Amino acid sequence: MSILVGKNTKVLVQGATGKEGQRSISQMLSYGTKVLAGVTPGKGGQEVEGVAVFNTVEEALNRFPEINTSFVAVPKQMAKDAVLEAIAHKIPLINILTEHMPIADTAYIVAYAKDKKVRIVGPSSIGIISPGKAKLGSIGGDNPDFSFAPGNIGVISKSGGMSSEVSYILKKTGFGQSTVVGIGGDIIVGSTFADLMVEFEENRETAALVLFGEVGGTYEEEAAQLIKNNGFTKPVAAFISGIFAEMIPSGTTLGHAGAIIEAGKGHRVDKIKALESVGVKIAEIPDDLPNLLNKVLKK
Amino acid sequence: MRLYEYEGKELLKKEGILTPTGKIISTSSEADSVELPAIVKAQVLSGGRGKSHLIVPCKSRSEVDSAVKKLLGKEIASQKIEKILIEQYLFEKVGEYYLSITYDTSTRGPVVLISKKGGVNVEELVKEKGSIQKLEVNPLVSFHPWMARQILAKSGFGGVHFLSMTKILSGVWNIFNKYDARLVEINPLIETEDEEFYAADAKVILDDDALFRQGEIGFEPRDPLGRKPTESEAAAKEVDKNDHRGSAGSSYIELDGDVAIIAAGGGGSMVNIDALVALGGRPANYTEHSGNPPAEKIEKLTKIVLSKKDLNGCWFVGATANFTDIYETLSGFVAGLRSIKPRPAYPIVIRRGGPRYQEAFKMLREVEKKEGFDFHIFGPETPMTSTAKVMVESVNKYKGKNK
Repeated sequence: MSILVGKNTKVLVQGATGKEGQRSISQMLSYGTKVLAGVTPGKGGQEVEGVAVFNTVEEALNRFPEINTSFVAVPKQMAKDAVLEAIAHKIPLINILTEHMPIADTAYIVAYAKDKKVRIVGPSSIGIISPGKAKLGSIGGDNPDFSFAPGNIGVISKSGGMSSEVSYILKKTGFGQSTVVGIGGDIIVGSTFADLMVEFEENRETAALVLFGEVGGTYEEEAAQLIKNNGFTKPVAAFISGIFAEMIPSGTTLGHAGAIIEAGKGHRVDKIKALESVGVKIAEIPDDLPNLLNKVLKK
Repeated sequence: MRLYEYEGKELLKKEGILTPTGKIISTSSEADSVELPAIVKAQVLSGGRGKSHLIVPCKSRSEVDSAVKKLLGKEIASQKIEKILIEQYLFEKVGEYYLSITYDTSTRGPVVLISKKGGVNVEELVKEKGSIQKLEVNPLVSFHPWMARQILAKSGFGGVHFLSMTKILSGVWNIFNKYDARLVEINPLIETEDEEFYAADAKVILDDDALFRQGEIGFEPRDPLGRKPTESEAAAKEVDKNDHRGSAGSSYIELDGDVAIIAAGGGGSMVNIDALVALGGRPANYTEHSGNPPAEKIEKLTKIVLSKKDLNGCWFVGATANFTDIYETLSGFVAGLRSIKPRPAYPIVIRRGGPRYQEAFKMLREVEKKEGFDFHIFGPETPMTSTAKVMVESVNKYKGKNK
């Protein structure tokens, strides 16, 4: 048992014929993920790696009503429209790869998804993987087995690259993962740490959780609040980057759109303080995470 | 994109919101013909202008002249003051209010903030419980006048305020919505004795990610901090501008240190530079590449990064890539490295993993042997942050040798 993605995941890829869409389809198929259909308006009737492409989500769902997940690899100019189409058809899980979506568009789709009770992960998400079962997106690249192995640690990461790196560090020290989720580093995202921690709490396969956080926003603080309210009771180890980000004058946008220092909140020290106060172990470097997990799991 | 005060006020005026009479000047000779008393305001993008003495109230002509002379051309926080806004000083005020619309990460949507106690720092307002009223806007419903009336009533406004401020708030929403703003803030909104409302300041931040649909908005492109980009920063931006395969260069920032950095991945770059800084290393730059850029782009970026003077080391560092071709990117790095004259003798620490990294490392070892570079090569078996220590130690050793 994993969260979000597993053996029963049946995927639609929106933006299937684009570069990112094609790459994701090929990688997902080779990992054994069931990719049933693609959508690219105007390219209906084509195929990508043997996967049929449709003009509309409705057509794809008519042909494959069992689709339960959409992976969105549509350029930012059209991403809102594509996601609204998926939400309107109540596809329960929508994972958005698209980077640099306008914040107004993200706020709109997040509100619409809430209304329709659909889960969005992303935008700017590298993907989701439940090792040994299935993956969405480019997470782990062509060779996910290098970084990921089945196990009982859940991982939630704002950074796409670090979701693989953290998993690799865990794997090297004998910790496999139940599910690894790249939530994206934007200041508004469809699923926050806390949103997914609720799922990990119920997931019997997950014994402990690793969080990779960054400066900016309030999602790490909300995670701490959830633990405080007993909404999450399993051990948690976390790494929060941002020493350097906070050295440069505020207003500078670094690699991630979300890594912006907001006035008076979202600083690295605030996040670490909030998490430590509810018993989360903070790693100085990502490679300390396995040691911390060993400590908390022994208890 | 942060707007200057005078640019933000142009947007406010378009929505019928009053601003004090004023003029924007870029030479001191333009400072005549202003109404007295006046307020002289340096146009820079950083906050806290009052505390930094960049806002000067003036009673006389000579005070205006000396304030303008003092400010114009001055450098503050690496920004040059090129424009000054001189406005009528509103001293007969009966109230100063705060209003803004921005995005709230906790509600994940727009939020309207109002306070009767404007004119002070927001940070101070936040500390005083109940002094700010907050209204969440559901993006599906948008913002409507009744919401303005409701939050105004809650904030303790009544009478004449209702009509005027409802209109102002709706105007602020229109700007927020129409221009894809991340923040529109008026602080203070001044109420005068004749019951008029003037936006005495304007802070507007537009969403860079939405600029593609804004057409010609007429604001010059700028660095987030209002700094003039350095020569190499401008050159680095060009690398990305002309080639959309992957990203390399647009995030380049020149810094004061002596360790050149070519990092990979937004998240990983931060982790690594954090480690370097924590160990006392001094980055000469920040830059990050991701999304499988071609060798040519990394070559160009490498040339820019390594053309900086007085370097004592170079760190090519990244996590285990999901899909970036490591042979491709490291080939680009080597090509860039070869073009640097004189040939770098300083230590070059490389840590990377991902597609074709073993091939890449074989190539690096051959280059090192034949061309005599001081490479320190590490793969995914070595924690990437531990190569920060290798970097700092070899830089110290190198500096010791060259004393």
